Amino acid sequence: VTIEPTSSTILVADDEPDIVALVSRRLRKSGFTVITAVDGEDALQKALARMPDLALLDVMMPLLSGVEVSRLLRAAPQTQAMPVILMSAGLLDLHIPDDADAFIAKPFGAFELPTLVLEVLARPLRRTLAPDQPPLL
Amino acid sequence: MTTEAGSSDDRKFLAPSSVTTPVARILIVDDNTSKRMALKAALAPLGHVIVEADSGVAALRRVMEDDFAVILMDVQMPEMNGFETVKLIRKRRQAEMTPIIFITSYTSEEIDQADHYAGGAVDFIFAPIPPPDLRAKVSFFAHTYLHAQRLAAQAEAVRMSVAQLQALTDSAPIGIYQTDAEHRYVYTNPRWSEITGIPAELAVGRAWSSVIKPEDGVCPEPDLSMVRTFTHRFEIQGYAPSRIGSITVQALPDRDGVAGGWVGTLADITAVTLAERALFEARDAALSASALQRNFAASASHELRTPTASIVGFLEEVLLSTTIDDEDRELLEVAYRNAQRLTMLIDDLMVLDQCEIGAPTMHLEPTPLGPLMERILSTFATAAEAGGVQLNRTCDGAAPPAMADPARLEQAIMNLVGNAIKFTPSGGSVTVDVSAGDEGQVHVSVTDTGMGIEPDDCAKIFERFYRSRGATDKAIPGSGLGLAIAKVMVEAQSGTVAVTSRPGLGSSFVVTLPSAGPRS
Repeated sequence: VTIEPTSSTILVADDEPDIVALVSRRLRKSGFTVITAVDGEDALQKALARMPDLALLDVMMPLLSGVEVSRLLRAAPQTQAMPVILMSAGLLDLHIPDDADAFIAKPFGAFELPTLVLEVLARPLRRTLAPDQPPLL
Repeated sequence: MTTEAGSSDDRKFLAPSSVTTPVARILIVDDNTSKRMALKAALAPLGHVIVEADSGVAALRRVMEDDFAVILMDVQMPEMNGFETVKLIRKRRQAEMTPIIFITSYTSEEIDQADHYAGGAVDFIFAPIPPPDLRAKVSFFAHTYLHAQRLAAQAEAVRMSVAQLQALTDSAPIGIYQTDAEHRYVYTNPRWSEITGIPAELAVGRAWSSVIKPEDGVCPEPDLSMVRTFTHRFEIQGYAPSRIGSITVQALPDRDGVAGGWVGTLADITAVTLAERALFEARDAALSASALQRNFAASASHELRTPTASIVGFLEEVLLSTTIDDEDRELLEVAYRNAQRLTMLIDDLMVLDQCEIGAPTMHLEPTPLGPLMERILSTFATAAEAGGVQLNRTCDGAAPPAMADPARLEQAIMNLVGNAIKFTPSGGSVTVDVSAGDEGQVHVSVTDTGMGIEPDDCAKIFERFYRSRGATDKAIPGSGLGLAIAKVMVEAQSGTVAVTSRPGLGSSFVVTLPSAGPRS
């Protein structure tokens, strides 16, 4: 399965405007459509309202951390299968939380991020909602 | 007579031939030798010791020498008759209570009995008397006498053990006391007074609460119906210097099983408690200092990496542009290289800091070393080729997996391999070898044919920021953190790193780790 970059929308959430600008620029250059969010709550709302193809979340954000947003996305039926990549400038997050699909440490190289995003999008959907499973949220 | 040995005392008295029968002394006083012989013969079956006296004077002498269970006294004797003898005997303290039986041929009417009973007689026997009657009477008195003797011995034993207990409590190195049911002191030992500063004579009779006030103001007087024992720590105040005591109290059940009082011990735990407190304070201070340091390092690292991520990222973006001229590109590349170097330095410091926190942050699991080494070497393939260094890998098939944190071990070995490649000139080689060590151990060695390390430097190369003379002389780049990181990482996994080197010929770093299983 090849993913057409142009057909995918990525949500980028980070409280550092410079990082948001850098990441957005790179993804746009690779052909993605980018939505941005400035904190965890903003990210959650935009993810639920706009249904991006993938959420790229900073771990340390105000209001809700990336890990918390990821967990909430998993709990909502409509976003349960949405791929999530966590990014952080800290090394303490070396171990990826179960809720996330991938982790990337800041700083990252110019092509590292678009490559990872494409790779995660190309994965078969990790989660499917069982028909008789009640919504968690 | 063994069958009677365990029977009642009364039975033993009636069993004269038994060796275990307690023996009483009986004094027979008569001036007539044949009458004495007859009495003695009649009493012989009782098995007691018969002592004879042929006159009142002789009787007095015997009484002074010995203690008798009963005295058989002839009334009619020359010089001093029986009544007169008894009067004198009664004056001897030793014999003032000894039962005396008069033997007489007078009829009862002839003797003013009331008088003589008052004079000390307990009974009269009128001769001639049938031997069984005599034995019955004498046996009764002997029995009574022996019983009294036994009671006296028991009383003495009790008195002795009380004295022993008293000596014990007096010299005990712990405070001992007893209170009655109303918590008034009945007894306190000298150590108790030493601890509390209260003399025993002041404590006895006073209530628990009036002598010692617990620090929290609550007197631990237990509900007698609820509690059998309790322990309480408290401060003894009002006496300088104030002490910290610990009492352990136990109920003394009375005959009905109800607590009729309490016995307790009082220990002076001032020194122990103060030492404990100091220890806890030191521990808390150390813990909060270490938590502070941990948080500081983590947030400092995070804060530093965020701007460097921007710098590196945006420089990259500019360098990707095709519109900048070559001179500007060169300058930007210097900036980019240094920004990357800064990033790595921050990473190294962070990693070092994390590892110093030690084992708790490690995720140990059985880690097969062969595949791990293969992965590491493939990472370095390009760098080795660029430097003209040959990479070799050997693996002892019997080597067990290591008990290690795979990610952290990988970083440690990578630092060693990277270091080895950096210090090995073109044409040399770096060999990574995995081998089984002693029981429960596995080795990973990284051997190069590089410049080697001077003996002086060998001890220092694991220090942070230390750079060997060889490295600085030849201007080989590096922060001096790589080996320090490798060492703390391996040590945090309960392993060791050792180095041997021959200057000019090469060095060998050996990592020893606990194995996760037996040799295969």
